[in-house]
Amino acid sequence: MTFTVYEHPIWLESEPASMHPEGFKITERALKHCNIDPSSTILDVGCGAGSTLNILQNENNLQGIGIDPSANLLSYAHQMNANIWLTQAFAEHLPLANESIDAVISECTLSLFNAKKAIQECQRILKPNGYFIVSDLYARDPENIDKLKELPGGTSFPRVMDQEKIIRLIMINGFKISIWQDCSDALRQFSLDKLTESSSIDPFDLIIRAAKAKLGYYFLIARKK
Amino acid sequence: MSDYVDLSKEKNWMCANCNVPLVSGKVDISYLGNSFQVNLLKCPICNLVLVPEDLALGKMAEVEKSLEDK
Repeated sequence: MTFTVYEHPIWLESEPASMHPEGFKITERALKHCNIDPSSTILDVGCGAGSTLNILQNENNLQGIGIDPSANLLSYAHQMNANIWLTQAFAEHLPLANESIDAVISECTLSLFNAKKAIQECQRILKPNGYFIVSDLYARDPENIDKLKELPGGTSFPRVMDQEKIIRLIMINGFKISIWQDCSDALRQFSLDKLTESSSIDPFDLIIRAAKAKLGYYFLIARKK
Repeated sequence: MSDYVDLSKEKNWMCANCNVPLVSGKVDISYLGNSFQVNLLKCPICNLVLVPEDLALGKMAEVEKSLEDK
């Protein structure tokens, strides 16, 4: 059986937070800042095996729903928690009504999709003043961003953007940014083993290219205008 | 896991301390907190690792230079 990088069993065998730099700390920080009402509907875009949805439900008493392109990961998420609404979809085409969602969480997934289309879809489904919570990789040296584009597909790296582009895309698509925070130190603890084991990336090449592009990690909260 | 053992070039290496042939095995490599494993030749007794010249002067040197520039 072949797996996409993030469907590889190595991610499912390990701690649920292992896919996210800083684990769930950024999720918790975002929820604290947004002060989301328990009656709200929260969408996890690219929910994978549902670890963030479980944190929302079990530790924050919030009801989340999830979409992910991977049937394998959704099946796993359903086995772990049958009480969460999940559906197979891409972020560029969300099967949700206009202005139906209070908050969208996108953890390490924006750069896996066509970011512009995904942002436009999130804007469409969010209610006015709805929260758009994003954490992802970014290139702190835009001049060397091409070094990441040469890494294999199926990971975030080829589509990583710089801060200016991310902010511009979000703002021109109907959001105002409330918080932008650099969390690049989180990458120091991230397991390269799992990433290189689940992909064809050579770890030396990854470190060289990441250093040249000054690969970083950010967290932002935007609100729909 | 990335494999940096080329047995056609490196099959005759012995550990000078333990006097046993080196064998292919997992080796932990760490740079500024990020660690990963690769396969390299090492001594099965004392775990002394052989880093091939190509790797030391190639990718390893490039990693170190990239991180210094960072």
